[in-house]
Amino acid sequence: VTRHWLVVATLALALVGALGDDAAADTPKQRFADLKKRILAAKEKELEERRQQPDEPQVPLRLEDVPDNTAVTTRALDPDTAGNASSRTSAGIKTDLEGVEAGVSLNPGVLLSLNNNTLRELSISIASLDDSRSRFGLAWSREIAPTLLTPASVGLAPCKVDLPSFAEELDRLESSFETVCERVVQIIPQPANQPEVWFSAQIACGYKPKQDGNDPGLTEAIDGIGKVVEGARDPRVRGAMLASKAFYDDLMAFKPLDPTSCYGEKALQRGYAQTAWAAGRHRIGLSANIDLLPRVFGFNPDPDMTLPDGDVQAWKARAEYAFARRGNELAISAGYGRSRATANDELSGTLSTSLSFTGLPRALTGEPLETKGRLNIINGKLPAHFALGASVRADFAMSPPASQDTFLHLSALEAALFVDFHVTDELSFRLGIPVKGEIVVRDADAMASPPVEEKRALQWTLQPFVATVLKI
Amino acid sequence: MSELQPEGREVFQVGGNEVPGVATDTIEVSIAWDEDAEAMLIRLVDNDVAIELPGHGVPGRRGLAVTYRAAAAVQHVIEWRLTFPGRTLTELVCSGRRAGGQRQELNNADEAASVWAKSGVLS
Repeated sequence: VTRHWLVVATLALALVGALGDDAAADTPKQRFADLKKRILAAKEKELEERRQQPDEPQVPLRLEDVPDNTAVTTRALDPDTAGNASSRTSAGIKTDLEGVEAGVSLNPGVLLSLNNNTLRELSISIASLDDSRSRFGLAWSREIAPTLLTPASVGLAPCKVDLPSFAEELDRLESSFETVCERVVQIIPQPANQPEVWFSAQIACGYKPKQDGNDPGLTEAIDGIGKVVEGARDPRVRGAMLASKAFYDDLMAFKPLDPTSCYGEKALQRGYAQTAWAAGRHRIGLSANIDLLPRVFGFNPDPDMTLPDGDVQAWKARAEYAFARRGNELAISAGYGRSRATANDELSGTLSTSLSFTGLPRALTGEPLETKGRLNIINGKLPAHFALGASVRADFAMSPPASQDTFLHLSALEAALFVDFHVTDELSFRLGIPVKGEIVVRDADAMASPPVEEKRALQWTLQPFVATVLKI
Repeated sequence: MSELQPEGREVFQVGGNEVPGVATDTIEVSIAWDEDAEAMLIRLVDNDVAIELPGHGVPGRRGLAVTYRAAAAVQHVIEWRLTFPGRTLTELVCSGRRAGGQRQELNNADEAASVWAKSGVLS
């Protein structure tokens, strides 16, 4: 008797449960109406929260690694030192070492794709100079640029989001949702694996009542439907899915409204280039290089002269600073080094300074360089442009030999007027007219009549035209 | 409020989409990248509901993590937009986990320039 009562009670509970299920379940149409209402409410709330966001505070300047944006990278600080020339990140190899017959400067960190910023900022240069000397150099540079992380910080306005259009999209989606539910989801048997996702899909279509913790929103519902449909192995389900493929594909292509969708790669990069162009970028650099004489050995036809033995001809350490803004750039440097004018001299100390200015940028084509005060980026690139510049570099001997009688102990001077051409982000070069003064030595000759004393003085060279590739 | 993850990354606890009286899940979402560079999470959405982020977003260097409470669900479809204007980040990975649960990869990318906006499903 007890067993009979138990069976009756179980059946009654099952019946009540089934009735309850039916009472709580909806049709796909009713459930979609609910899903639409919920997602529209959620998106409206999100849009309102975005509207309420306060304005961004002023962005402070901070030490930062150079972003991979060549449009606003400063040019070479001083080609002589190899400290900062060219784009470290885009090229890796540069070709603008002054006085070099052949040489390379490369950034091992960039070439090896290392993620350490300091290593990426280091460059090594190796070159053979025009009088059989060899140069080895090490340089480090860093840019101080504004840290710009958000769309607003790079001048992008809020995206134009149209909630009514999204609601219309949802209206169009309704028939696909209902068709997929009625023709496919309804006939999918409960799988052994992931039954909770199956339940979720059934709930989304209204075939099962909502549960606490299982009341999917529209995006979750569509994802769940996709998972159970793709996972179904029943041929009936596969056939139904193929018969309703257009509706199924339409449903799976659904993209929920995103009020940040206009902040794509191109918009952010353009905004960054424009903001950094106007805000300015500082750059500091340290460099050191050493010039070695060749090592000559074997037969010496003149025993009075010693053969070069790989001695140091010069070394130099230098600190550099540059500031670039709106296409104008100022660069200064100071350094100390020791060098010898001839192989028989002792090394003597030299102070070195340089100053360079580039400005008055003008477009090479009909496109203006700036529009409404913002950099004119066309298809992600700057218009081709040029800028005028001047530079001067002076070296002063700290304790010159008695035979050197130059103004302020000047031991080298170079001044140049130039035009920098920025053709593309990948190619820029400089045409210049440099005048260069270097110490040359007249040897003493006691046998001459009258005797000739040693004299060291500046000899000037005017080269009418020099082209330097700044970046390839 | 914030706490530290075992790997030392700060976890931002942000406003969720919980509804009083409704069961919730505590979710942790982490995004990591290779470069020692900053980026900002400006949008995070869980099952269509935007998670309120502090200020203009959650910043991070090399990575970031946020925890929030969301209405309990079988699956959490999580959307995000990470911005880093002018930079290129590599080996981006977004992962998520429920409180006490296993971490699951939600999506990844070899490289992204200026922005990484994707979605993934936390089961």
